[in-house]
Amino acid sequence: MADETYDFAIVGSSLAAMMVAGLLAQEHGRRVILVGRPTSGLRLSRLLDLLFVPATTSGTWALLAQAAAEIGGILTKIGAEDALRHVDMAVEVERDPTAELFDHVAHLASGYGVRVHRTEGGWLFRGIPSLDSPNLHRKLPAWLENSQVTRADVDKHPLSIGKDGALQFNGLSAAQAVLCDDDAILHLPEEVQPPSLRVHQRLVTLLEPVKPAKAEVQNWPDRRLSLVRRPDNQALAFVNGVEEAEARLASVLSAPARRLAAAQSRQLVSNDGAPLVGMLPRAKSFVAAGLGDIGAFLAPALARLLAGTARAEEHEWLKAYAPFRSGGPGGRL
Amino acid sequence: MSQTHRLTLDTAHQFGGLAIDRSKPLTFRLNGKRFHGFVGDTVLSAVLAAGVDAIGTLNTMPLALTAGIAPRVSTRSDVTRANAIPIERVAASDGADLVTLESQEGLVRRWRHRDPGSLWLRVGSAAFPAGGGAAEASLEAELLIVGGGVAGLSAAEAAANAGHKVILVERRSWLGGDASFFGALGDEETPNAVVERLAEKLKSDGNVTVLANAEVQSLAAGTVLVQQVTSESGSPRHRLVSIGATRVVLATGASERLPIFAGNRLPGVMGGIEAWHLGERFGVAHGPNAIVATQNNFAYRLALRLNDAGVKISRIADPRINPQSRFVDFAKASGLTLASGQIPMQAERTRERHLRVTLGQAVGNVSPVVVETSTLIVSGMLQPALELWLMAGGETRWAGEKLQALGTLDGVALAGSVAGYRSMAACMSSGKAAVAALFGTRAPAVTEVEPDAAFEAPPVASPIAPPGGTAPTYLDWGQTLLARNDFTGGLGIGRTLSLGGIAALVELGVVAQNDAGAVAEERRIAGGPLLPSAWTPPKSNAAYETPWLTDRFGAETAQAHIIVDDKRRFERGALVYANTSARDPANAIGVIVAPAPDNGPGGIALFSKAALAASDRFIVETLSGPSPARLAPAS
Repeated sequence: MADETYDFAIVGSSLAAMMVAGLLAQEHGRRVILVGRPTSGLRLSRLLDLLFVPATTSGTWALLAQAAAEIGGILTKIGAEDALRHVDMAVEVERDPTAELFDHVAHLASGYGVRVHRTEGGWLFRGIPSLDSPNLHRKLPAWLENSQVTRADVDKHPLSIGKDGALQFNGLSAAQAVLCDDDAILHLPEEVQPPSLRVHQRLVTLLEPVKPAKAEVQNWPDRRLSLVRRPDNQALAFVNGVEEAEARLASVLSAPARRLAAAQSRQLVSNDGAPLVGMLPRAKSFVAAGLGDIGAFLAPALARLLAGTARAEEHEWLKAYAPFRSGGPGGRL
Repeated sequence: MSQTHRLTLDTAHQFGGLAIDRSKPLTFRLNGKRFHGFVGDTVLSAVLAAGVDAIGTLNTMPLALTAGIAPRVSTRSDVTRANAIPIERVAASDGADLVTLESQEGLVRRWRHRDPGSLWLRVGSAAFPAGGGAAEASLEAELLIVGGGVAGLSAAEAAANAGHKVILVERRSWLGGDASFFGALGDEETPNAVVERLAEKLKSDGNVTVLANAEVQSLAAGTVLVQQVTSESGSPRHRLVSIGATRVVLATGASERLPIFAGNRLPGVMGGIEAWHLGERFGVAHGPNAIVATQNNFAYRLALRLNDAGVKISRIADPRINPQSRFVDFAKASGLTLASGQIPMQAERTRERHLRVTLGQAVGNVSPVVVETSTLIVSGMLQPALELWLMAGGETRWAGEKLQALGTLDGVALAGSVAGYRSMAACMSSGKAAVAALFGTRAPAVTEVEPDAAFEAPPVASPIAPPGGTAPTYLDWGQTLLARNDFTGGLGIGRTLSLGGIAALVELGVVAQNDAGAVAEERRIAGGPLLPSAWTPPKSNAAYETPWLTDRFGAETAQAHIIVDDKRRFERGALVYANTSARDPANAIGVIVAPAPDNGPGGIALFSKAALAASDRFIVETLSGPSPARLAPAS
C-alpha cells in the first residue's frame, strides 16, 4: 500500500475548488493536492459568483450572511481584496408563482440585513457581494503556492478513486477525494452516483453594446436568465437551459448586440435544485455539486466541514443537503 | 495624388501588377482628395500607390493602413452604414466620389498638407458595423467550398469531375489564395499557372458557380450567408446571398501572424504576404527601401523580387543562424545584406515619416543596430484561418506553436493550409481528399512534398521582443487592436480576440497552452448580431404549488387574519413574530401569505398552530419597520 502523502485531493477547476484547497491547507493545516485544469482569466465565467439565491429558509440566509461576513477576510489573505464588490441586483418578476416566491425571499433577505426595495417590475436587492472572477483566477495560483497546495493537471495523467475514497494520481495519493468538479462526479460509476443528479445546460454570452441599467445585475427568473453589466457597455448574459435560449436572451435587449464570446457549460443540479454536499455512501468520495453561483462563497464552510471543524449551524445546513438525503426541508433552500 | 509608390512595369521582376490595366488610368475621390489608379486597382491599392500608408491615429499614435484595418466607404450620394464596404474590397472606379464611414460621424480631420500620407481617421471609434439583413438571392448546391486558393480550386475540380453541383466562394476579387507567395518547388507548375488552369476549367463547367468578392458571414445548419461586393454604375454595394449546402469544404488558408515588437503597426510596417500581393497584383511597393524581417525562407524570395523591382533592401533580418535555403543563396548572390540571428526589437517613427528600426540579437548579448527605412516588411508564422471552423462548431487545440483544428464535424471538411498542410501538392491533394471524405468515396493520399530540412531550413516561432519602446506593441493584424499592455494588468474577458491574438497571448504566457483551444472556441463569431425579440414567458391562471411554505412553521399550521388598524395592509412575505421575540428570522412564528378578505386591512398569516394558540398579539416586520398586529375580530 502506497504512503498517503496528502490528506485531501480536491478535484476541480472552479473558484470554489481552488479556495477549498487553499483554505484546507492554510487555515486547517492539511496536506492538499488540487487536481484540475489550468485556466486563463480570458475564459468566460460559467457562474455569476454572486452571493444570492432565492432562498426561503432561515438556515440558508443565515449561511449567506455568514459567508458575506467572511469573504472579505478570505480575499485579503489571498491578496485579492479588490476582487470583492457589492452590486445591486434587480429582479423582474412576471408570473404569479414567481411574484409570490420573491415576496417571501425579499422579506426574509431583509430580515438578514439585505437592503431590499420593491420596484415596478419586482424587487431591487442592494449591496449583494459579487466576485470579480478573472481577477481572482489570476491571484489564486500564487496563494495556492504559498499555502503549499500541490497542483496537478487532470488531463495529463489518469486519475483513480478507490472505494475507500482515496485518490491515486501520477504516483501521488490522497486519503480523501473531494469532487468539486461536475465532470469528475459524472465519471463516477453510475451505481454510486446520487440518484437525484441531473445535468443542466447554461449558456454564457458576452454582448456589446448593451444599454446601461440602474442595477449592475438584472435577473429575470421567469425567462431563466441574468445579465451582468460590465465596463464599456458590455454585459455577460447567463441563460439557463437551451430551449429558446436565443429568443429568451434577445427578449431582454433593447437594441441589437454583437456576441463577442459564448460558452455552453453543463452543471450538475439535483432534482429539487438544491446543492448536494457530503459523502457518497458507496464510494466514500466527498462531493460538492449544485452549489451554483454561490459556490465560491461557501468555500470556507466546506473547508471547515472537511476539516471536521464545521460550526453547528453549518453542519445542520450541509446535512440537509447530503447526496442521499431523504428528510430535511425537501431540498428547499 | 500621384502614384509615387507604383512600380514600373517590367516583366523581369514580375511585380508589374497582374490585376491592373495600365492602359486604362482612372481617377476617383476619397474624402474629397483625388487619387489616381488603373482599372483593376482596389481603392486600397490605389491609395497605397499614392503613398498613403497611415489610416490615422489610435490614442494619438499613427496606425498603418493595411488590408486588415481598411476603412469602410460608400459613395457620397448613398451614404448609409449598410452600404459601407472596406476599401480593400472596393474596385477603384473612374469618377467615383467615396467617403469613409468615419467621415459621416464627424471623425475626419481635415487633410494635413504637411502629412498627406495619412487618411487621418480616428481609429477605434467606428460604431457597430452594419450586418444582417435579408438575403437578396438564394442558391443551392451539393457542395459549398469556401476559399478559392489551390486547395479550394482543387476540391471544386474534384467535385465537378464527379458530377456534383458546386458553389465556390472567395473573399478576394481574385482566385489563388496565397500560394504564389510560396512559389513552386523544383519543376512543378507555378501556383499562378495552376490557378489559371483550374479557374479556366471551372469556368466552363456548368455545375460550378464561382462567387468572387464574397465573404461568409454566417455558417450554420446547412445554410451559409455570404456577403458579396458588387458594383452598380460605379457605386460599390453588397448583397447578401443565402447558400444551402449540406456539405462544406473549408479551404480558408492561413493568416500571417504579426511578430511582437514595439511599433509593429506603425505606418510603413507591412506583412510579407500582403506586401507580395501588393507588388504582384497591383505593382505597388510600400516605399523606395525596405528591411525584411522574417523567420521563414519565402520572405527572401519577396526581398529578391522587390530588389529586382528597384526597392533597395537594406537588410534581411532572420532569427535563425545561417539558415539554409535556395532563396537565401539567391539573396547572397544578389548582394543583399543578411542579418542572421537578428529580430526587430522596436520601430519608431521619424519626423520624415520614416521608420527607425532597432534590430537586436535573438540570442546573445550583442549591441543592437539601428537602421532607418521607409518600409519594414515582417513575415511571421502562419495561423490556420479556423474562424469558420469554429463558427460551425468545431474545436481547436494548441499544437506545433499554433491553434489547430481538433476532431471532426459532420458535413464539414478542411483542406489546404487551414488543415495544416504546407506544400502546394499536399494542399491540392487535401482538397480532393476533403471532397472524397464528404461524399464517402475513396480519398487520395495526401503527402507533403517539401525539400529536406538540410536544404531548406524550417521556419521558427515568431520572435518576441522584450517589452519596452514608445509605440504600442500589437498582438495581431486586423481590427481587434489588442496590444501587449492591455494584458499586463489582466484586462480580462472584455476584448475581442482574434486567433492570431490568442496565439500571441499563448506565446506571451497570458493564456495557458491547453486553454488556448477553449478560449478560441468561446470567441468564435456565432452568426450576426442578436436582435431584440418579443419572447415573453407563458402565463397561466392555473393553481400552483408553494413549496416555500411547506413545513416552514412545522407540520401543523393554521392561517389567521391579523390586523393593526382599519387601514394598513400587510405585504405578502412579511414575517410575523411573537410579541416579545427578537427579530431574528429564525424565530419567526408566521408569515403573511395572502391579502385580507376583500382586500381589507391587515393580511392572512400562516402560523404554527402552537404559536397561534399561545398568543393573539404579534409583531409584523414590514419593509418600512415593525408593526404591532392582533387577530382580527371574528366577523
